[in-house]
Amino acid sequence: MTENLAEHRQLERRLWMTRWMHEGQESAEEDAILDELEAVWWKLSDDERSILNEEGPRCWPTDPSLLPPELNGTPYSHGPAQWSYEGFRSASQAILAAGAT
Amino acid sequence: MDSEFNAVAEQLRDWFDSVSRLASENFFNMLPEGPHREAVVLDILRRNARILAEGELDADGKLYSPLCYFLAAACRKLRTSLGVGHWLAAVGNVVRLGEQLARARTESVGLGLEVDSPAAFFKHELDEVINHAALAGGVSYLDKENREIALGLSVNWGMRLLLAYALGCAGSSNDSGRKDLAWIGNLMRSLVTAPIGTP
Repeated sequence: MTENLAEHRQLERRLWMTRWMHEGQESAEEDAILDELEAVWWKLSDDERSILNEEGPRCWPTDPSLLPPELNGTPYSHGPAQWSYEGFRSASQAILAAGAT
Repeated sequence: MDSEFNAVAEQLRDWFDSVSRLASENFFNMLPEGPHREAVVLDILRRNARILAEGELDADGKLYSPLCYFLAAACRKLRTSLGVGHWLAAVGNVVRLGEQLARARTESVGLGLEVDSPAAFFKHELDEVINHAALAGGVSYLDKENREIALGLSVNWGMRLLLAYALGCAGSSNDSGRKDLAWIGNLMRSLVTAPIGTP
């Protein structure tokens, strides 16, 4: 997959998530992603555009006839990652003390 | 027909608001706002993701509670709630897929092929995304943004699994007033025209 197509796929996923979070309603975030998608579209080759055109949109979470985007082909992190506890600055902070708010 | 789907979606939205409220008041909010509370949410999310990934579909509704707590924790983690639009899409998807698979099942009999039930289809999708994002443990190679998208997808598939699972489980006369899996099944059965396969 070329870098431009990978970027397009990532923007599709981001668009799906944004539309899903807003129940399919328009939002400012959606407009920004659509602008980015349009910019990337013009960098794609004819073959890549044909692939996307044939496939149809995957970004409409509220349309029951369309499937959500696939996670295959997502950009990977630099290494394996886990869901981890966040917000603790030290081990001692993880121990709740009496009077903690 | 649209108004019937909307009415069901509204009832499901109200029902899930009650589920979320129960989960928040009794589990998520046990600890003060901050990293401790987020840790509890993450633990509930992972524990129920593990139960779902390891669990098998049944006709008794054993996956109902873990699925509800998984959805509540995932929504809490994403800081979102499930509105009528989400439920309407899920209801439409389950009904349409049920009709497609019922037609496929009729054809497949003549070919000796098995066709999954809608619940099995959605369980497979949910298992895939749980595995991809390492929600049930282990490690994921997705970056942080895509793990969040995977979490959104898991809610998407989880809602559909819940509705299809309810359709495949035993119904009830539902005169007890309980809003449980059988109640969801009855709601969904009011919308389907084709028989839906059992889990």
